[in-house]
Amino acid sequence: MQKNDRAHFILNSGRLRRQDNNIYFDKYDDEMSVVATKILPINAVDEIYILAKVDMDSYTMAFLADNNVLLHIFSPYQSFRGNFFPNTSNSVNKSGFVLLQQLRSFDDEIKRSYIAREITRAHILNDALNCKRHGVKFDTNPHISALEVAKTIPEIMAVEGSFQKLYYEEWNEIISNQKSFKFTVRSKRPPADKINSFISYVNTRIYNVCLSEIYKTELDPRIGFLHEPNYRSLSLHLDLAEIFKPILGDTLIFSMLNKKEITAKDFETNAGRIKFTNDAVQKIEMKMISKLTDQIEVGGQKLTWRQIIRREANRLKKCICENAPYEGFVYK
Amino acid sequence: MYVILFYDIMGVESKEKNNANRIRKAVEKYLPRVQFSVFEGEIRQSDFKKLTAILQKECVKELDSIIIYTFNSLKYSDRIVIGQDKNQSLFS
Repeated sequence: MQKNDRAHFILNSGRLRRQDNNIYFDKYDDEMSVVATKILPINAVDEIYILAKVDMDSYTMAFLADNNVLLHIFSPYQSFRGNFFPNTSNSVNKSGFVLLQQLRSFDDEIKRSYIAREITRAHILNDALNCKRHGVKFDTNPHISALEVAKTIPEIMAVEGSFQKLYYEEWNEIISNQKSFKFTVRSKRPPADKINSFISYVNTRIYNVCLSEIYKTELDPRIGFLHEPNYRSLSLHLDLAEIFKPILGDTLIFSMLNKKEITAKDFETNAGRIKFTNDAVQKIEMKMISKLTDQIEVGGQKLTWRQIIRREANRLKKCICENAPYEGFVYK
Repeated sequence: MYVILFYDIMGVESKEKNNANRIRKAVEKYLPRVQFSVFEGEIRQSDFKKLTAILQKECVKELDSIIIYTFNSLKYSDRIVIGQDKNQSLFS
């Protein structure tokens, strides 16, 4: 039986509307006429992912805001467009103190590189464990020692970049279906081949999960440590996702490809851009949700992956505010 | 916590108070609908308390009947659907 992650996915075009203090979704057909109506239970939904063309009015959005429902909006090619973060009195629990401390630690060169280094270290170790689990030998020692020498953020980024390149080369040994999923080079915006678009889609999902967990803590997602905050509006969730991408995303990709749950048929190509079909999105999301609701034992507690991500964010906050030592999460 | 809820509400003719709509709207806010009077899905413990409190208040004890099954774990269960599965609660 399926378990829900309190998320809802809208894959068909339609209209979201408010009625009876509840959210109704009218599904459209090609001629914009309503074919089916569905009721989304407002108290059982925390996040709505919109992957299609959806009409909405401000009245509905205000209602979603009152109920603290986070909206994530995607383009037709499944790249992230943005999100609607409700700004109500009970959702804004940001303290000025935490923001100030976050800014100070960002300006503090030593502390910033310390946090960035820890994140990268956890990322490298998690990646290596992935390789080990699939029977591929991978030596991380040169990368870890290079990381300890690295002083500035560009140096850390360079270590991470060179490591990532070697790591992606190992993928060809892990993935058995080499005909349609051969990994050559990582390409983004837009992803050039099927494996790249799969990676991009899964990573985007993890970014959004991390973002919604950051919104639940007092941290400000605009100020990241490893990633420069200049170019994009939000960057802290990218840092946090670095740790969890290998654990949640890469293992999902490996298992779905090796069990042939995703094949070349699940992709649509249109004018050189690749996207998943709706069935494939459903398959991936079911897997993703069962992954996110999985419980594992951490420090004597049984936690779901979502709670582990939140715990990680809170530990980061503790490091920022109270100078507590921070160690990135490594999944053993 | 997983819940299966179904109800039978008497028509307006047999009683003075028509509360079918009120009960329907209350349940729809917490659980996805599977069939005309059957709801099932994940719910939080606190939400479940709220929902049962509303149902206690709205229900006419002599005529209506509401039955709720609750599960703490779905380990020994299996959901088989024959025909249309109307409850695709995750996707639309």
